[in-house]
Amino acid sequence: MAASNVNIGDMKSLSPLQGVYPIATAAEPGFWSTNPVSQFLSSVSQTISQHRQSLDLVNPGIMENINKEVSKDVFLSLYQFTGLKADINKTFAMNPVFQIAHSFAVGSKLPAYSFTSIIANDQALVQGTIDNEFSLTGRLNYSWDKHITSKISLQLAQGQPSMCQLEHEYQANDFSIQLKALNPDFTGPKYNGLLIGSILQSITSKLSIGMETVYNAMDPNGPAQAAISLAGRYNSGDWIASAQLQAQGAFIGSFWRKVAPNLEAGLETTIQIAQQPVMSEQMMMPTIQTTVEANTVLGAKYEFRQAIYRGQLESNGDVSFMLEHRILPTIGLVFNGSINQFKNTSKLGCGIQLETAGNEEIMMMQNGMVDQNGNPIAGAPQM
Amino acid sequence: MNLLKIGLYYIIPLLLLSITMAGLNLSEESKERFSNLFSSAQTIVHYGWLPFVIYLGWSSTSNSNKPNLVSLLSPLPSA
Repeated sequence: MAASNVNIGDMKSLSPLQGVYPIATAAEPGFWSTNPVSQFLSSVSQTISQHRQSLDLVNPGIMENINKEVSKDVFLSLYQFTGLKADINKTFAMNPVFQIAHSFAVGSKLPAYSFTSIIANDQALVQGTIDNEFSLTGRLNYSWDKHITSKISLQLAQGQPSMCQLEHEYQANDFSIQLKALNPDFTGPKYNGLLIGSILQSITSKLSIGMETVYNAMDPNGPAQAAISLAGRYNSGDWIASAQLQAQGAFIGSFWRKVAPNLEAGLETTIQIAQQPVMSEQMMMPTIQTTVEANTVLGAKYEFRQAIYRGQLESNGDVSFMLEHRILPTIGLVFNGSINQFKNTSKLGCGIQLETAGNEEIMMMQNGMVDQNGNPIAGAPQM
Repeated sequence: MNLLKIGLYYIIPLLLLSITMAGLNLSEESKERFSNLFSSAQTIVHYGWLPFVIYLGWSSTSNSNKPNLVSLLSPLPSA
């Protein structure tokens, strides 16, 4: 805080990372800017920020997305479902995007019917989903500027504990900070809820390291727990490797590679070391035994113009695949299956996705006859 | 989106207020009042969230293309 000409509340201009350093602006020379101590401090912080700028660092993304390319993009576990599913999305406007969706599902854990409404533009996203049992999932994201984002997510259901998560992200030029609070309750004598703070910092233009701290005080009667996880990520353009060491004794290593322009492959290994109490027969008293469990998943994703194929092989014997195909601009099909020969289990899911329009303009856009600005596309089919 | 911004300007001071309450030892009566307040706020959010999102979307569509309630809620194409 060496520079006296900066308003303390103005955090952004205080940051040495914005490329605009407050010292550079001409300020009236007063006691706080002319005394040797603050001059020394400001010159030191200016040197540090200049050095940081010269390193050409990039934002490493948030901690949550440290192995996003593998676990969220290539692997199909997040998208897998069983039974039959039909989604009908109706779009009313493109800027901001305003969409309403009706989803029907049979024979799966998904609710039989759910209704979703989404409105989104560059700055904000508001979404609400309510299902046939009246449980609500709400989400609100708001970007204050291109670095700072706040998020609120809600889960309210009748007869079940509600969930509210507040999230705040700060993505600077070479690091990201994320703060999360789950069900925060400050009314009691002590804090109740879950707090997560994480930081990910770029060390070189490719390597970034990070740390996550979890403070768990969900149980009002028991003691609170705190845990620290460490993570590292190396992004070399066409391949990305990441490693996480979690506080509960888990190690997650993942590797992603772009094999060809339309083929990505991912590998993820999880090693979980846990200590479990076991009854030993000789002594008739529980002893602590260390168990090691490991699981490896290998997956690939092919992306074509109108289809996405995903395949996945797991070391516990699961073989899964998923096919998403867009038959027409407004009709998409999803098919996924999973079989485990060792456990003799299988899962199968089939879904259809329809896009409908709320007005004529959007319908022309969906059928590829006009572009985003309403100009006709040459060679488009006529109605 | 202006409506949203105003809403956020209310939420954040409220959160800050609740943080400053952390050190206070509230009496039983005020604790109960707070829990009543929270549970009614929860009910309002539970049934008001989706209508609010739909209203935000409806008000953001251009004047010539304002959908009516039936076309807003029905999955069938209205064009």
